Amino acid sequence: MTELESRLRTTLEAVAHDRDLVGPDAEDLLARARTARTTRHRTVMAGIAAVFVLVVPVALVLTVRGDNEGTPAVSPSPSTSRATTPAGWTEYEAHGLKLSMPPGTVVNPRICPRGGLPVLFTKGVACRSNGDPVFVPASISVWMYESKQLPPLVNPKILQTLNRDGLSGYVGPGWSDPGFAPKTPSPDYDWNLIENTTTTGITLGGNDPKVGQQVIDSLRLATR
Amino acid sequence: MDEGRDHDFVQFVEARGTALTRLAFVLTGGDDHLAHDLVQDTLLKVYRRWDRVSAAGSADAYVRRMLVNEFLSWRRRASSRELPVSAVPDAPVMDLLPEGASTELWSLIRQMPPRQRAVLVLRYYEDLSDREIATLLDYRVGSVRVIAGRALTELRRKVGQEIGRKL
Repeated sequence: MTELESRLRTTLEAVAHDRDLVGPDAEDLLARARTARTTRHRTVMAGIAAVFVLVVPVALVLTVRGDNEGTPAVSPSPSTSRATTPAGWTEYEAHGLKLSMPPGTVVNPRICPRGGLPVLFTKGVACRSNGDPVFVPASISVWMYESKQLPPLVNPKILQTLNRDGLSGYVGPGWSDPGFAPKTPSPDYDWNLIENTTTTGITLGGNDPKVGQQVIDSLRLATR
Repeated sequence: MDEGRDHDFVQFVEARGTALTRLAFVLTGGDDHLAHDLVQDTLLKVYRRWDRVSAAGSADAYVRRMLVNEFLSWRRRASSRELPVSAVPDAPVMDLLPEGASTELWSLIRQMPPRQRAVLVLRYYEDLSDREIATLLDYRVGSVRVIAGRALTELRRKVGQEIGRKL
């Protein structure tokens, strides 16, 4: 072994043991894992149900066409309007809800009734792990759903904005995020900040269309 | 049945959680928040596959493999979803390294591409052979040697006059 290799070994060993590092709390992790399993099961079941209930009829109604980015997009249903603001933001409106997305983002709204509430699926905004919004061709979802049906998830910066605006509702990682269910499920739609999330998606939810509008407005402000 | 499974999982986390966190800490270049995230993400996946993990000959090796691969895929996902920024955010800094550690070397290790760092960490921190590393990363043994060789050459080149002369 060369001296460099010897020093490497010593350095890595010393660094790893320098901090008072401890592993995760096993019971807490188990609770999260159980919740995630339940959540995933529900999400899968909801997804299967959605395929039958939503996708099939929607596929019959919607016209599939390409957008400017070359990504296939599903055109909005007749109840959806789309407009471009002078600043280049694309505004979608459906069921009284408005979603504005900055220029350059791919927005693919699909209006799906879920429990009588509108659901918007979008693409184009993701967040860094530190909460800063970035615009990328990745999926996020912004939707409204009935409380307690889907897991609240996280985004610190958006949360701060929403909290600052005094909104109710809840926020959390997208359904692609396997891990993080709420530590404290909130029956009153309090915002839950779940630390240590790795999600890049934002899921915003509330079961009141007015809240939904505020959420979307806040998202727009936060991502500017 | 679930209770027994959960009990085994909890026992495993209690026994191996800290070691995994230390491994994650060096893999992530000394970012303990990221290390904890990495360990938790991995262990949540471990829970889902616990039957398979516990049936494996060595649960420890299986989970270590999951952790390293999670680290590498995490980095890949992060690089494809994050945009570069002009201002680099504050990075964690280790002010004072413990005795025996080389500040210069640790700084260079932290700057390495994740794959190179992973190979060096597995070789010199986990004491795995190149064959074991190859199995863990699903690479050929030759590829592991090439990655490690390049990393060591790069380290020697960068390590500077002060240390370089001795090496």
